[in-house]
Parts: sequence; structure tokens; C-alpha cells
Amino acid sequence: MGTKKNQTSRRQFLQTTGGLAAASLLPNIAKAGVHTQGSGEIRVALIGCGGRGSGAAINALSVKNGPVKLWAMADVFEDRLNGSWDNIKNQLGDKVDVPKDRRFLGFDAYKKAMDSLRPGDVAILTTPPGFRWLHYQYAISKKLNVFMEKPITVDGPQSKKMIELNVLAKAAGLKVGVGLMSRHTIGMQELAKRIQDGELGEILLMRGYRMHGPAASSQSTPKPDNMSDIEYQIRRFHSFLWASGGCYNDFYIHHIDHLCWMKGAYPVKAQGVGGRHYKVNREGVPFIDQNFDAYSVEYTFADGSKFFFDGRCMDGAAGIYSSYVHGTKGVGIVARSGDFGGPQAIFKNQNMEASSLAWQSTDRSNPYQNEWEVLIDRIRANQEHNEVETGIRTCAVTSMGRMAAHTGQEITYEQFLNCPHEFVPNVAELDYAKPAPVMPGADGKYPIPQPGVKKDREY
Amino acid sequence: MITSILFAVAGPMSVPQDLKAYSEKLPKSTIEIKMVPIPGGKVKVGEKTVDVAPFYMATTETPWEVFDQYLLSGEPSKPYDQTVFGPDVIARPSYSYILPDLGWGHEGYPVINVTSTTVEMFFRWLRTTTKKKYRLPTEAEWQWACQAGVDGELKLSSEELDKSAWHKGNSAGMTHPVGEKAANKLGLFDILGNVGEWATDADGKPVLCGGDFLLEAEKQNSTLRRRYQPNWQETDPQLPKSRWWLADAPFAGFRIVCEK
Repeated sequence: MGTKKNQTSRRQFLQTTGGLAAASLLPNIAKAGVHTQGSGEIRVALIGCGGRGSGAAINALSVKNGPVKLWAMADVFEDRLNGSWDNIKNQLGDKVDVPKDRRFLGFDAYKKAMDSLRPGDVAILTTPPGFRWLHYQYAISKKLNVFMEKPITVDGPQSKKMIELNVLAKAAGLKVGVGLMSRHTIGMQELAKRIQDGELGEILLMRGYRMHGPAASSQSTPKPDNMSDIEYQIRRFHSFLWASGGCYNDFYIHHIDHLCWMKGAYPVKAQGVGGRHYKVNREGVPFIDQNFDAYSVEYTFADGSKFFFDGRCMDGAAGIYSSYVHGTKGVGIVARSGDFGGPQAIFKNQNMEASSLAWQSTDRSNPYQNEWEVLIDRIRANQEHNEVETGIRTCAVTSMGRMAAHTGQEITYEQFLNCPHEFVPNVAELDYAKPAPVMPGADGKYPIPQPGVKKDREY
Repeated sequence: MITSILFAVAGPMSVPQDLKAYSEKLPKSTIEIKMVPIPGGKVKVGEKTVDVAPFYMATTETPWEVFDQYLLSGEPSKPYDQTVFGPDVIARPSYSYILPDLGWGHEGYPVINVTSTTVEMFFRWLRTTTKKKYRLPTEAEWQWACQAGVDGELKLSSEELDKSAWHKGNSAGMTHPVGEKAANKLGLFDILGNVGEWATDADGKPVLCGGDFLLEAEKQNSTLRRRYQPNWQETDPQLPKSRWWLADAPFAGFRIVCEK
């Protein structure tokens, strides 16, 4: 470990020297990261002060390779902004320097928060994903490094926008982390290497399951009278396809991401089924969200092999939440429980029994923290780090499966990407008093997918 | 189920005549909680000798099917709601992003990954539903029941322990269905091992008693105590962390007690 650490430090030193030299040759581009190399303070702005955004801020401030300081915060809801500030301050007060004049409220607050940073600082983008491309665009224009939570797109048009924006980010040398933390699970990294080295043989089948109760805001009852439509849809973002891609995109993305990683390929098409059953809560109040209760999607890879994903958000039904890779030489457990729970394992045949165990992981580190260690280390060393391409591809593939279930059609990757239905075309103009991206019908319910009826769009 | 007497009795420990074993049948379900009487006595907790009045204790750690009745008894809380609850409020956990049972098993398996707040709310619901004085044991009651008359810290031989407890050496890293191992003299299963059990200390604060399936055999004893640690929720990605579920504490469960 000592030797390895010394090597890393030496490499970082050499890289830093190179980076500094480059700065004088390319002042407009390379300046983006100059002051954050070495050991200077990195400032972060939190854009989107919900639970995960606050959690990401704690991860950022807790990196070993600091100092990192929380410098600005932005949200559209005052209660979220104040609550997040309180929680982060209570936990890591000495790393929080966000006076009132750097706490920004409103739909343009993201600009003000990023304006307070210096090029090379970090913008944390953790609003509902419907806003992601817009905020990323601004971060790039300010030459900010970025951490963005998943999902990073919700539909085909947004995915294309992100592909274009990311070309600019890469050209500017920006370091961008995406919150697909499976990839920062050490046990999964080991498993991926073993699979790539052939320990499971040829991968023929993968299975992912995420079945639990209706978590977070995936099911919603009618809007309270004292709240505007747009406020309601942002607060309940998992219920609205424009804001999150729905529970399919927001929740199931992790298994889809890590199983594609294990396969070493992305599927080229999907077919799926889904449905809504007794959509009322325990007190008989109807749910008005756009999600199905259950989804089952069959993904097909270019080599013809299959990946089956089953998702369900139903109260009281048996839970199952795990993922598996089946190869010609054996089976692997990728997520034993949850999105990344270990131990990851390889078995010598198709029986997952102790007597067949060939390998099992031992690392228990926290991938939510690991992903931040990597990002800050890369910023300091001025080494390339851009997880956006992978993130876009994973989001597009996830949404392709969702679209297949929502339309009842087989959907190819190209069909998804080129589908003209943009869920929130006017994202840049949204404001408190503006109409919401989707409005309820006379029955108070929002448009829902109708497979076989609406075939070329999801709702 | 295997029932046998394994513990040497250092002193008399007889059940009062007026206390009899019974089953609590939960309303609108076929689920029963088996309760056995525990006699009163004195037990040394830390440096203090504490008087324990007779009480009833569930024969097993609380299984999911019992806990599910509480979960399904009304609307769940909103995620990350930090409302300060009044003393009579019965609130239910918000839906978890993870499976609290980790997919290890549900019916018959012990509840795990619960905070002390969740357990307190469960008992408010159970008291209201049954009109009986159900609650967590005090740590003195728990230790007294665990020691079952043995004077001082209860330590078992490795053979005795293997018959009665799931620990690191025999659990294969997971919890096991309640009641599969041998009960102690009082009829209590898994009082050591399987999951640690929430109790309340002399100041009314939550404390996790006893060993669990992850701990080595030699650490399983009646005086082991643990308090909540932040790393019991390390991989909960949100802030504030859940007040209901522990993302990283599969060793934290509980057992039902009823006052006489």
C-alpha cells in the first residue's frame, strides 16, 4: 500500500507539472482546472437540495483529498434549501461557507450559484433529472467540473442534447462524475474484471430484479389545493415522466447500468410489458401518477443474448432486489441485495450454493463516497474523468425499455433516440407561475401510457 | 422445534403461579405471538444490581410477518419527514429504497435493519391494537431473561452455543428463521445470536443487547451492549438519513415484552 501510494503521488506530481505547463499555452481552456490542482480549496455549489443532493454534498465535503468547501446552494423551494443547509451545517459545519447571500431561490438560482464559483470548482447537479441538460450546459459555459446524479436524461431528445453538450465538456477538459455508484463498488469492479477475463465464459443471460414498495414519490395522490401544478410535479418528481423518467428510469437504472457493464455491451432493442392494477392507497384515495405498478422488460444484445429486468413498486408484495449474470462456465451474483450490496460472487456452475463458490468479494467500502474520491482525485491530478457518455447510454437504454413497456412495441435504440416526443420541451422557461409540463385531465389524473393505443409516444 | 434445558441453574428461578404462557393473536390475521412468563429477580447490569419484576417475553425475536401487520396498518410516513412526534402518535416507516430484509428471507425471519424509533412506533401500534402493555424490554429485563438464572455473565461452551445460537461460525453470513435453534431454560429462542435486540437502558435510551449472526462465538454473551453508530447507515445515500431504516445494520432486531 505504501509503495502504491507513493507511485500515485509521484504520478500526480508529474501530471500536475504537465498541467501547469499546458496552462500557459491554452489559457482559455486549461485555466478551467488550474487553481484546483495541488492542494488548493475546491468550492462546490449544490444545485438541488433534496435528500440525495444533501447526501452528495456530504460525500463531497468528506473526501480524503480535500479541502472541499460548500460555497453556494440553489433550489426552487425555500424549505428544501433551508432544511438542507441545516442538515449539512449540523454534520460538517466547518466545511460549510454558505451565507444567506449565496443561498439562491428560484428557477434561475442554478445560474447564480454557479456564478459564485471559479472555473475548475464543482457544480453538484441533483435536481430532478428533467433539468439536467440545462444545468450542465450552464456549468460547461462557466468551465465548472460537475457531479450529476442519475438519471441524466429522461427521453430521446434530451439524450441527444447531452451527447452534444458532452463534446464541449470534454474539449474543455472538464471532469464530470455521474451518480451511477455501482461502478464505484469495489467488489463489482473485481467481478467485472473476472468476467472480462473469462471466468464465467460467454455471457448468455442476465437478470435484474427491483421489487419493493412504492418508494419515494413514485406513487402520488391528487395535488393538494394549496400547491401549484409545477410545484407538485417537482416535489413528486418520481411520479412524472418529464421530471424523472418515472420509477423505471430513476430506480431501475442501477441494475441496468451494472449488468450492461458486466456484459461489456449495451442492448440494441427491448420489448416489455407493464400495467397498473388497483391504483389506490390504503385509504382508497386514487393514485394519479404516470407510473405502472410493474414492469418486465426483455433486452436483446447484438449477439442475441438476453437480459431480463423485472421491476415492481407494489405495497405488500414480496420483495426481491438483486442481479445475476449467467455464463457458459457459471453464474455470478452482481448485486446480492439492493443496488450494490455484496458480497459479489462467482460460482462454478449454475447453482449458487456454497459448494460451487469459486470467488467472493470482500470490500465493504461505500460507493457513494468512492465516486467522489475518484472525481476529486482526477480534478487535482488534471486527469481525464468523464462518466457522461456512459451515463447517457445507460439512461437511453433504460428509457428504451420503459418505452417498450409503455407503448407495447419493440423499440430499438435508434427508435428511442430519434423519437421526437420531448417530455419537457420548454424546460428553460419553467417558472413558479408557468404552466406545468403535463396537466391533469378532468378526472384529476395525468396522462398515462396506453400500450397498444399510443404506440409512437409514451403518453 | 427443539426444546431442551441447556443452562445450569445457579439459583432458584421459578415462574410465579399467576403468570401463564399465552399467545397474542393479532387482529385481522392468523399471526400469533407466543409469550412466556419470566420470573422476577435481581440482575447485575454493569456495576448496578437491578430488581426485575415478573414480565412476559416473546419466545422468538420478532419475525417480519408480525411487523408487517404494523407496516400495513395505515399510511407510511413521507420520505425524510423529520416531524417531531407527540407521545401518542403512531407513525409508520416511509417506504425504503432498499429491501430491509435484504432478500434473505421474510416469513419466519427476524426483523432487521430497524431503528429504535421504528421499534417504538411498532409498540405504540401493538399497545393500541391489543390494549396490553407491550414494549421493549429494559436492558436489565433482557439480561435477566438471557441469563435465565445464571449468576453473572452468561457464557456458553462452543458446543452449547452451536446448539442455541447463530453466530459467525455457523450462520454463513445471514440471519436464519427464528426458533430453529434450542431455546433456553425459559423457552426463549435465539436470545444469543441471530440478531441483536433493542432494549432501553436505565435512562430510557435505546441499547442493542446481545450478539448476532456476524459476531464470533466467543463474543456472544449476555452483557454485550451496542449503541447506534453512524456507520449503521453509511450507505444510506440521503441526508437526512432515514429515521426508520438502518441501511447497514442487519444485526439490529427486537423482541416483544409485555408487562404483567
